[in-house]
Amino acid sequence: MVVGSHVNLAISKELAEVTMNSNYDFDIAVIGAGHAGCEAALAAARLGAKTVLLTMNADTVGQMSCNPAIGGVAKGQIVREIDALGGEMGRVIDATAIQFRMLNRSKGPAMYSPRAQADKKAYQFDMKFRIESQPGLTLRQEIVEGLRVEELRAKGQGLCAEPDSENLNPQPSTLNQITGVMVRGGAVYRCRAVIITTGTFLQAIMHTGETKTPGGRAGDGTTGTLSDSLRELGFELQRFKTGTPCRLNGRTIDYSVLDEQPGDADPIPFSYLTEKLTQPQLSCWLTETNAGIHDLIRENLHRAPMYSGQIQSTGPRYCPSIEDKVVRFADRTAHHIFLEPEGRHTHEVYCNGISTSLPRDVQDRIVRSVRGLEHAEIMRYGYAVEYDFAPPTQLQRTLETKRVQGLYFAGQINGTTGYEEAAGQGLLAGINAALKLNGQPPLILDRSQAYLGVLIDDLVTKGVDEPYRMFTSRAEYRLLLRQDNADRRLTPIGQQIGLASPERSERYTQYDDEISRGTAALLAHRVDGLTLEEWLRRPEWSWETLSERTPELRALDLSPRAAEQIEIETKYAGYIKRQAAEIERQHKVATVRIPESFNFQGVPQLRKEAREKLTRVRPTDLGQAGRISGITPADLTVLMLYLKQPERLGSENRPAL
Amino acid sequence: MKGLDDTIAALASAPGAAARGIIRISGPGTFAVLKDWFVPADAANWQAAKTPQRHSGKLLIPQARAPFESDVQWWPGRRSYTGQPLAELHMVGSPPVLSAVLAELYRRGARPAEPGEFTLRAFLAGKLDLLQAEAVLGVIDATGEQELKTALEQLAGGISQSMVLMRRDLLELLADLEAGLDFVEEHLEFVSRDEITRRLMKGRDMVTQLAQQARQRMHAGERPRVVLAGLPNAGKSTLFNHLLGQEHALVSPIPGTTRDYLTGIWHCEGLAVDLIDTAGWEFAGDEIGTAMQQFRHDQLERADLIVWCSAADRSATEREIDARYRADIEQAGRPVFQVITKSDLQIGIGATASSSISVAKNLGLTKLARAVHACLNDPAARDRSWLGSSAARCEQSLVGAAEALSHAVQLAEQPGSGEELIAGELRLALEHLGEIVGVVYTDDLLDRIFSKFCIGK
Repeated sequence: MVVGSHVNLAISKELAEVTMNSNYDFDIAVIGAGHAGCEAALAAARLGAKTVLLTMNADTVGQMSCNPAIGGVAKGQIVREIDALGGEMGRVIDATAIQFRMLNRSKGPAMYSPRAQADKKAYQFDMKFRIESQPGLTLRQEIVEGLRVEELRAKGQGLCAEPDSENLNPQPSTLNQITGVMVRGGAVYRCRAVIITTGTFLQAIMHTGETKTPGGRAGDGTTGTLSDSLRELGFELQRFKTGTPCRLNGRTIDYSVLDEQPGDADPIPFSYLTEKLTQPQLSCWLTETNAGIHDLIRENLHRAPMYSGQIQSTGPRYCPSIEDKVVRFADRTAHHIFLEPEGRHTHEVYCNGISTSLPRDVQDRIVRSVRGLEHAEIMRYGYAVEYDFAPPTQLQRTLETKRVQGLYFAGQINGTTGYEEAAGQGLLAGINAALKLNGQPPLILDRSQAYLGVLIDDLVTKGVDEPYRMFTSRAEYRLLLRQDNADRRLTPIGQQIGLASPERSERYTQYDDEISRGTAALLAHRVDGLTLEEWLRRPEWSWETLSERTPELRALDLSPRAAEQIEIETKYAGYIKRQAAEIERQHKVATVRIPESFNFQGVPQLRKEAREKLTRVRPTDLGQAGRISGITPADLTVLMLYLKQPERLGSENRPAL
Repeated sequence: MKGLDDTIAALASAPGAAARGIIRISGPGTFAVLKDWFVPADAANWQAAKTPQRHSGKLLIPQARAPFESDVQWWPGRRSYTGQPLAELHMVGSPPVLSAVLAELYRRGARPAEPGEFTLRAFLAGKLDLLQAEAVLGVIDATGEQELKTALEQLAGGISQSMVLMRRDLLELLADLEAGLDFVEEHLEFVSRDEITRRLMKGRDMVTQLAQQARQRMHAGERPRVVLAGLPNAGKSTLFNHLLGQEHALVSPIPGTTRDYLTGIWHCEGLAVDLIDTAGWEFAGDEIGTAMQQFRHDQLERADLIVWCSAADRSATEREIDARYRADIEQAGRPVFQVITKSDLQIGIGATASSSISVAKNLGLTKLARAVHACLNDPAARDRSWLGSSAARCEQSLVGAAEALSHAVQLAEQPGSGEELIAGELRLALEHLGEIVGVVYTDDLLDRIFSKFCIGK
């Protein structure tokens, strides 16, 4: 069965021959070479799958479409996790960044968050080069127009209910297996798994004032037929919007009246493999809007597509356009604007904080009214983009779709926003696709293990009602999920699944050994009746000051990073223990498993809303069920009753258990 | 607990003879157990009913000579109290008739409902929150007007409401803290340390107070405890028996007759109280007496009110001892109400006493009941806004929340400690509070952040 409205069913003989070629036979095809696609393809290839990475334009591999920065609060932790598992983002940004800052240094170690300004072009080339260099991975420029699937079997009753069905007996539906992708020109790539990472490019429309242009990014096109193909397979698609600000020519900015924001004097790398950062750093600059600009925006609101009704989809609340800010926070007379250089070999400067879809003439007037930008030239105007995404409750926790076996979605197509969130999903989709083909168990990270675990659990359990960005407040186990210990949390997993390179493994083992020796020494030695560990817990002592007094510690000659790790673990121990106890308490109920075949529609005691939500998400345990928004403790009690006391089941569920 | 799919039936009105009696039936088979012997006045309407409605008609019971007039309030769908098909039979409140109807229902496939089972179904169907469900049970089990009032208030959301308000306040604070942690690049001070400390203390004090109330309520069981205490042969047991209207304790003129403690429910001016008689306040310390003293000591500890009985016919020495013991108890912080017993034998002590009675002459007893009632209803002495069953469930959560908030206050007062640690304790506290009212907090946290702050680098 071929799906795709533009599929030419009469494939020419010539093309048929071409497609017999092994150049078209792969284990895994990744569609889209953005941040998700690059990580997915690299991970899959590294785990031994013969992988092809298909991109509309080989010149935009790993492109940073929006702001020129990687990391930040919660996002920096994610980059560390990607690196710890064996992903690429951390190494690429370390190699190409032009400024590094550790945010939140005034707070505790759980809040430390690395952030870097990237040289956009350098980042992109570095990533592309790594893709090209990876054995087992083929990069190819193609426009994908459809998916090929094969019907496996009719699904049994209860496996897949229509979410909004009034009917208590779910409609049986078919289960498909992915077999390949069709590209423009009629060629077919045969494969056993497909990972779709198309970002904002599904049915994308850009808005600048009244002007509408098809395309997912200024200068690029859109992928229309893939959306049709997904709809034909029964996937639900919805629309989101996001926006970008204008970019200026830095030569025309008056920096003398702006506040400088330099990088850290002792920059700390993202990747656990990067020894030291040596590149010279560039500064960012800070200015702000003013009351006059706010008035100007108010006068022109009717020309902003979102306010004129031209855009009706939902945008993110935490990255609002300047027109949004002016309307929602009418009492504020100024909003920050961060001027961020886009690279070493360009004057282009990104105006962070004033993303907008207002028409060009208004953008010109806004910019000229800002302190320091009176004579600035706009190089690219800001625009809003509207795109299709697939509500992620249609996914399993492996990021494989529930409808089509072997089909995975990762990145912005799942309704997320941010390079880091996309890369993390790509990495896990790539890992899981390869593990499945190898017949190995999936990698599902728990919420207490990683921000990536929180991210994916939130997506598949709660879905999204605005573009999803990670915050530390989303992680209930925030004190455990630190940027300093991502390798301790995840590198052993990377080693186990075979993604950690020998270099990474060796370094990690050495580091882990240092920590073990240091921890043992703290417990073994006493001063004035107290163990060194007890001394170190006190706020006035550090590993360094303690080492100066105790030759036993000094003799260990630990690396600064290992010493720091021991210090954090020791000083945080009390809080971590309290949090660990809480995890334990919640796990007891949370781990009650719900069988895959469980028919939520067959539980008449559940409220209709609860039945629908549970049917749509199909949680695998009670913990996940409880995190679905709108599911109440009463609903959980009913479920618990049905799971724990099968003899009390309604007739519809009795045979299933 | 039995199946939720079973059709259950039980008497819903008060037992005993009354003008009207109500039998409630719930479950998927409700219609089936009624259809063959309920003869509705409007059969077509009854058969086709899709919405809740009242149907007049008659019930035909084979062994009865005549049909019983009965109205059936019929909820065919999920919009009933239990979220299932539900029927209420409204009929004459004669116990033999009601029994016969119930027997017929059981014969036709319904089973007797267990205590609280209708409420359980309502809770499971999402019609009630936990506190309200407990309140319903409170209404059912209420043994006094006061208790009924508390149950009804809880049903209307009394405690739920104050819990919800407090939770909202703490959630606002958490949103402030989290915004400061997640949006460090915004260069905004979301909330000052002093402000954090102040709001945390307010929360801690409220939760601690609620925890104490819940604990007191638990110790008190379902009803306030009134303990009769006093020197031997002070007439405690005579008073006890009189108040309960039956011969509970062996009453004799020999000091030390009451060797065990006795308890019963006294309906004191509409308030059901546990009335407890204790062994006399022994002078000598023999072995049994010591064990008993300990026992009585425990009772005094748990009392909501101690009624100290002083006999009017004591000698001057005895009066001195009596006053000393009473003062001891008062100093231990328990509320004490003194009553002069045997006032018919009065020799002249009455002037200083709070109240004087004579059971033999039936004097002053109503006055005593009023005085006890007033003492128990003194809001400063005792908070009556918790139902016993809710208190038992919530106490642990409240203690957990109070503990977490105390930690948070300590952290907030140390200048060097990070806000993420304060936020951690606050989350723990909210988790505990959420358990009480049955809600989760993460869903609305981000909403709060974004509704308050202009964020968006």
